[in-house]
Amino acid sequence: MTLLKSLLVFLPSLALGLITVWHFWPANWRRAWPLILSVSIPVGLGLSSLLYFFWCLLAGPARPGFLILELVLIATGGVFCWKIHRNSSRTLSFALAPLGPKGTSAQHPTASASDAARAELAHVLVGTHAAVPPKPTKLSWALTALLVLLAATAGAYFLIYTRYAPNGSFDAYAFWNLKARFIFRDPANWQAAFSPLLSWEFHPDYPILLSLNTALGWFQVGSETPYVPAVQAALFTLACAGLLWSALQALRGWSQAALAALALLSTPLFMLVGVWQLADVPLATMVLATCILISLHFLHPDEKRGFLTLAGLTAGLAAWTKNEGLLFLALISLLLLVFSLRGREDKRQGLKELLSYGLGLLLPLAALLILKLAFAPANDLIGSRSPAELSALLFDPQRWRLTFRLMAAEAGSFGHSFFTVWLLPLAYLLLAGRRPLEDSHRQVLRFWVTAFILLLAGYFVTYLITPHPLEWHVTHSVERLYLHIYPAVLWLVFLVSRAPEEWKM
Amino acid sequence: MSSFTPSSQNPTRPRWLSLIGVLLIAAHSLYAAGLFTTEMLDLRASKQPGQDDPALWAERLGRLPEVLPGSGLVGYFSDRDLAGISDFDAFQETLEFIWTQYALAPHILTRSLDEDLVIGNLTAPLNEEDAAELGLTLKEDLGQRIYLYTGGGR
Repeated sequence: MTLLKSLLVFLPSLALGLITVWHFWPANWRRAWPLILSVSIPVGLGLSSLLYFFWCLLAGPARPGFLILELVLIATGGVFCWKIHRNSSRTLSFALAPLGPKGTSAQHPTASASDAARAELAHVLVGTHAAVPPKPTKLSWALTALLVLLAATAGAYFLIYTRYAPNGSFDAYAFWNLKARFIFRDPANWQAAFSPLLSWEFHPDYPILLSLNTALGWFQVGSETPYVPAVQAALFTLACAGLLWSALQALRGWSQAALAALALLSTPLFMLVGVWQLADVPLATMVLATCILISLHFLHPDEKRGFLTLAGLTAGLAAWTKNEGLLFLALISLLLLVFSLRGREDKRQGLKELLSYGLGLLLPLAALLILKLAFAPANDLIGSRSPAELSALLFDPQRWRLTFRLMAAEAGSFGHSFFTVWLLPLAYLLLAGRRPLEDSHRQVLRFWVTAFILLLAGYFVTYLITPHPLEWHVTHSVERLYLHIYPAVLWLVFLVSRAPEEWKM
Repeated sequence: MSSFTPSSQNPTRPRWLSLIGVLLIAAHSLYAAGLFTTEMLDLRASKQPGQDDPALWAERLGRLPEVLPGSGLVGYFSDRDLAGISDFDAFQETLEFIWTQYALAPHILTRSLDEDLVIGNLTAPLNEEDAAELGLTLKEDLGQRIYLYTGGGR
């Protein structure tokens, strides 16, 4: 019964996410519903956490009525969206857009009616028929069956592990669930969760997406059940795999989608971090969602710029999930600024794009500013150290060598498998080959390869200045940092590699 | 006829080579499914449901949450904080501190003897002289090597 209640308490959050994504989705939602549903999970959980944060500030965590607020928002938002989409001519405008490169018809002479439907889907999503997802084949069905088998095994593993270790692992009880306990057990003094008197091991400065949802769930269930954080962890794990599968299924067909999802779900570290209830899978989900949404924007830069608004929201939510998300948010925002304005004659269009992105960023950024300025104590990595101390660490060549060696060694064993799982996408790309890329695809690659290199460089610098023993710090955290970008790297690899249906016959 | 060439007509790799890539991922998926199944069986064989480390530690703390006041600061010390004791597992001690904080929230644990109440997580209780030297008085022996002292704040 408690498990059922723990599942039900997340329904309003998911509905809120669905309404939000539906509202901003610039393309034909009917044909992209698996992708929309997958984006809705992290967006919904993130929005719910943000709204509850403001609720805590204004009314207090235990004040009844938050569920009513959520239901009112869902109902009014739903009616509003329904009216917009019912009267929308978006689908028509896409259908009338040029079909292929250079304005030519992309309809293959042998294409059937179902090909046309799939072509329309790809066109609606990416604005070109060059990416028509291939028809399912026997191999696609076999891979999909294998995916179902693996997903079922992974799901059973999640359930069994949670039954035997309901409190998750270190980060879960030291940071996220601990903060939730502060809020739930003493709502009048909920700010104690950020007390500077807490030992640094509890990281009182960390963002609180997960903790707030857990506390909210406990208030709604009426008890401190470990199922609530476990269900939240399961939702994020499911969303991450779902995002990868649904985006690739829409754009690249069933085989690529199944292969990418298999590569992700077969990574033991991904499942372990999921069942351990750590924030790294939620952060990886936010990074992947942002990566897919910005990619869709580059592949199909529509007038409404809804993908960018949603990307702003998910990038902001990444920072609301974990401190590493702050670096991701800063880098993505900076890169978007450069990519929107550089070499562009119509700067106003670029500014409009940035404004759309900023619109999505508004709520998470406001919450973050309040949290960091009014509640959170100093971060343990920066602390009260002087610039001289920091620069001494930063320019120590021995630390550079050691950090590089440790990061490389951890990359070489990444994934908790019997070989580094980075080899999976790399080998597939080398063996299957790359498909012909259009400019928009190249732009996607340029943006995200730059973003991930800068992100890794940022992590590298953070290790250089760590006040903790360097070897301990790197070896205990870097594999989870790699995990933040691993699903997004899979997305990029399977977006540009040839699908089995495209192989030479 | 369109000038557009579908990507399926841009062969760059022989089919068998690409198939190896698919087989690699499929084989790794089967390996992972086997790994998850083995782990599930191991868990069932070696653990009791709900009995993970924080839960077991909360049981060990016994009545401690009940004897503490509603919230506020509570001191905490363990073997590693005592002079002359070097035979301790620092990692385990850190974990025990974290599990104690997790169990006792919304109290805030400080590694200090200056609070009104101080929890001792010790392999052996302090004798009266040592306790007095540290400004501590034993308030209650809670069993399982957990002791509650009135602290040096007094």
